[in-house]
Amino acid sequence: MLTHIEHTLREFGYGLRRSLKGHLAPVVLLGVALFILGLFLVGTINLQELIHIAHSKVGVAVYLTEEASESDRTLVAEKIPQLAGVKLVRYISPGQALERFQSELGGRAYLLEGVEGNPLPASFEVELYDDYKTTDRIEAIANEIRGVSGVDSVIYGESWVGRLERWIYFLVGFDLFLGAVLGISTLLVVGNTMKLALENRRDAIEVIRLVGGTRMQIRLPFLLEGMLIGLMSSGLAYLVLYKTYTFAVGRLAGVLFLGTTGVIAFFALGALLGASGSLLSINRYLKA
Amino acid sequence: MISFKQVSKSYGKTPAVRDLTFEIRRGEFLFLMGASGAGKSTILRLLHHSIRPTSGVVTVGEFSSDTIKERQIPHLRRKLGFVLQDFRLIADRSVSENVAIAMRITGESRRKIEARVNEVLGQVGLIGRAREKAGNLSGGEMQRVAIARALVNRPLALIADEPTGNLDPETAQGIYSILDRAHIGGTAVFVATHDRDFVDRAGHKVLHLEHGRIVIPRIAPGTAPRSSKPSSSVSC
Ligand SMILES: Nc1ncnc2c1ncn2[C@@H]1O[C@H](COP(=O)(O)OP(=O)(O)OP(=O)(O)O)[C@@H](O)[C@H]1O
Ligand SMILES: [Mg+2]
Repeated sequence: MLTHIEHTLREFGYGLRRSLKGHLAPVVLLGVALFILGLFLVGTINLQELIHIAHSKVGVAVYLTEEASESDRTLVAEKIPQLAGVKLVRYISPGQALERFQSELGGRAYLLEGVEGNPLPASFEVELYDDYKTTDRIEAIANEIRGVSGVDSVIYGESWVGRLERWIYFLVGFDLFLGAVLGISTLLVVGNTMKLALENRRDAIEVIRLVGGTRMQIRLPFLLEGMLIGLMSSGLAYLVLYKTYTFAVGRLAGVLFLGTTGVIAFFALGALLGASGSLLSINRYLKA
Repeated sequence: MISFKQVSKSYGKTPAVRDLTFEIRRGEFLFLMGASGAGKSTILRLLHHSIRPTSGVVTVGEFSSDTIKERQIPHLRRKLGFVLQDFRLIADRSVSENVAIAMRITGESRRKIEARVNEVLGQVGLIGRAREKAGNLSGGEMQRVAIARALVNRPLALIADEPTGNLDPETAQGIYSILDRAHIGGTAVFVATHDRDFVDRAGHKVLHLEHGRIVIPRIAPGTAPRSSKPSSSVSC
């Protein structure tokens, strides 16, 4: 097979000369399909990044009752780090809380002028391991902390992260669904265009068979042609996708694009779809 | 070299050829005569191994139909040069490309292909038309390209099915001259035809086929006996 590269490339070349024009419409069609798939993939990548960032910010704030004694505080400080999933516990005294509040108010610190003393309670900031930043697990940890005496309330910003996570499941699922639908349509489109290419070159196929060409020598040029259709579609889709990305990134800072593996996978997907579509036709229209 | 041993072939239930035993010997010229539907093309397809015998064994060189593996069939085909009634050329490619393709699949070097293609195009008298598109040629010229293609790999035998079926008698004569020259050059030639005139004039060995069987023909008046007598290698 590899000793016959010359034959394969020549037949591939003859094929393109006859069929390339006819391949342009399918290439555009597939390009659009792959572009849509690419959009969703980029969307998924960005949502994933968003969730990652959100995760890193998820924490639990534990407020103590006003009556909480020094020993209650020590008890809480000892108990929380023992809970599974807790990475770090930081004590915020009422004084520190007030300072923070003041700095957050900035120029409007005068609002606190009429307030007698310090109304802010002591609290603990609890940092969790990433694995424990799911809605269920945070809730479980929060409930355990609530059971500790001296704890007044436990606050955590879970709900929107949970929603994001459900979104990502949905989106990945949708990506797969879209990939399957577009994949099947692509196979049909490539299959059909390759059917025409095969019919276009029936004479050459028959000659090669007559003079003793192998199955590979008959099929490989067509397989390459299908692959090329897929690659050209990927190229087109990638170009438009990249333009869209550079346009978007000017408006939304921090938007991510396909990484190196992503780009390779994108082109490999195109080539694979092209080759499979063409293989379907080859097996269907060539009996030997 | 090439032989049929008790070969029968049926398409479905209808038998096309029955109990054929004969040989194509090294360097011989053998005609296969028979009316339409007698089974001539079936014999050629059996040689090409595009169909397999229902029973019996077809042998080509070191390959036998009963033991050959699917992936060896292309290599068997390269030992024979096929010429068909409808020429089977690639119309939008040059004459030399039409010949070269048969050699290129064997993996020969470009230099050797070029030299050999020129050689066989010289043999069939088409050296001046090498760059012409095959589709622009006359029927006779097309068939000469097909013969050049069949000869390019120096086959054990040139196998032709009604090679002059689509040509006028004068052009047909030219084709037979080229086949004769190939024969003189040492290539075995096996030609299926129902063109009695040429067979009689040529004076080569003849195999008569009737309803799928090899027969000894009744000698018609005015027919030279040497041309219609089956050879000793033919059993009936
Ligand atoms: N693919 C096929 N399916 C069914 N029957 C077939 C097939 N090919 C040939 N036959 C039958 O087999 C018999 C022999 O056919 P074949 O083509 O070998 O004859 P032939 O001698 O070449 O005839 P012709 O001179 O017309 O070309 C005929 O009766 C034909 O109808
Ligand atoms: Mg026939």
